[in-house]
Amino acid sequence: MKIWKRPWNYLVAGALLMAFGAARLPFERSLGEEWERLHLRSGNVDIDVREKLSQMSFVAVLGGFRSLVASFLSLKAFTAWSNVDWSTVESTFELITTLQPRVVGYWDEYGWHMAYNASSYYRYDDDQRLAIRRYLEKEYIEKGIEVFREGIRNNPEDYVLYVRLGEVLRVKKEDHCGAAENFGVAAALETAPSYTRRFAAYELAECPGREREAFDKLLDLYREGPQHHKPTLIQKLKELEERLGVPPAERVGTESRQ
Amino acid sequence: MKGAERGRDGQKAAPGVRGGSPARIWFLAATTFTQLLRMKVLYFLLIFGVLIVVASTFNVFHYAAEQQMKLLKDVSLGVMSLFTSVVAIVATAMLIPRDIEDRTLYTILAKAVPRYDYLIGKLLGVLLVLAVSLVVMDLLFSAVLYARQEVILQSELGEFGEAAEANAEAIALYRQRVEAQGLTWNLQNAAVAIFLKAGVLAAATILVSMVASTSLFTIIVSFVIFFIGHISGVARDYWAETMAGGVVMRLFGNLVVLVFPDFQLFNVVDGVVAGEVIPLGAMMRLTGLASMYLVIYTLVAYLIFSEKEL
Repeated sequence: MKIWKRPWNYLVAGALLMAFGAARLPFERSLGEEWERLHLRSGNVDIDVREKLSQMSFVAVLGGFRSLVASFLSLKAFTAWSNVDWSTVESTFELITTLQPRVVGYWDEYGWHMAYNASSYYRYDDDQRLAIRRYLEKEYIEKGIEVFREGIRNNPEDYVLYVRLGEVLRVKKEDHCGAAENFGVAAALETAPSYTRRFAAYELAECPGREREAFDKLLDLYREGPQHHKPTLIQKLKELEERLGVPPAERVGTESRQ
Repeated sequence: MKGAERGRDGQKAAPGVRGGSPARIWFLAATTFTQLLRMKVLYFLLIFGVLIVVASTFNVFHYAAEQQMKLLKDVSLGVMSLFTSVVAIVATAMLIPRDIEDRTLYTILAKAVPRYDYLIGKLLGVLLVLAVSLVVMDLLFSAVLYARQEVILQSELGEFGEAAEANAEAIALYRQRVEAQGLTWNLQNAAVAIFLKAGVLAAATILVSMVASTSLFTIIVSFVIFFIGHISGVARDYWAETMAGGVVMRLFGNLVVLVFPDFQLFNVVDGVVAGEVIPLGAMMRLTGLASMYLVIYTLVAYLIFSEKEL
């Protein structure tokens, strides 16, 4: 064959390709590590994910369209939600959050569906016996809590999921100590809005044995400025003053509370 | 051989003809650019335009502002990535066979144009087409995203009405979150990464076209490279972690990793859409890696092309 007339060039070409491959490996490995540090490299697609994705979606994920696949799956989850098909909502969001664990909005929506929508649906599901309804309601609240916790593990620097976890603990479990802890973690984050500090103090006020700590925090907030003079904060202060027996001289003045 | 180059059938080019002439390479690149435009490869820009407009109006009612914009970014950047990859493969695969078919290649080489000038000119022409089409798509995408961001902000913040002052913090927070998901300079990094990936793919396709006999074969093999390039990293990690498959499989795996580019390194779009920021230094490293791929693949292509019987 004429192509092999001068085989040396082909050998050199092949050797060059291999040498380049060997030379670039350490650089690519270090770049890959940098991408991981910057959260730019998504995790590998494991067998579980492969089984849940269609062939086309799997190819799309491998081809670098992971975010696009997640977006379209969220549309599928929306349809499932409209049809109150909770198992599909759950499995679809599980897949979405596996594909894009760094998108806080997906964890937020996933947890909201589980802890509020699905749990409320089963609470009022007349087709089930009362015991089953209560069991399923509780089960979905726990799922929602676990979703928020998993989301926090993947996005520890974002305040939103701490707030969501705090809310669900307060509203659905009446776990004020747990809620206070999560609002407190959110408040300590740089990007957190100021209401997270107030929320942490409100919940602490309901946490048995921590009333004094809550009172001090609420008082600090009150003294910080009028931006914190919200009706709830003033009401909590008043309640704690009564419960702790704060001397009248030390109480926040009635006029300044207006 | 300094100052001269082999011409058709391995014969020497005319004495005094120097290779690597920027003017000649630029002329070849400009001709290739025009050639590709005449092949109507940029028609896909129209499809992109329609898609992006549709995506921008697509709003599931429950979607929060951030999710609406994420969907728009996903569709736009996904289509940009897909189109540039397809154009990089198909346009490059058709270039040299088309030149042979039209006998343009013989005319060019008979004029004692060194083969590496020809190769570099062709590759630059393709890169120019990719760059121009990406700039057009990026401008359109940026304009639509910015418009969407403003519409969302105006409609959502307008609802506060007279209570805006009392909710200043909430408004600032909302604006901050929407703007973080809207048009940012960081998004341009994704467009650059898409261009770099397409450039590497074009260089790999030119290399394949040196040994292929038809455009179809080049296109098929290049798509295989595209696919393997996306999974080679996964395979490498799997083999490294599990030690599965025995010696033969590990050797095969190493061969794949050495020969095929790791395209996953260029897939930063997902992270950028999610709001992760790429530092300038990291982008420079990625650009450096892509440049090395371009240089080595072009060099290897030249080594094959220089001995190719035409």
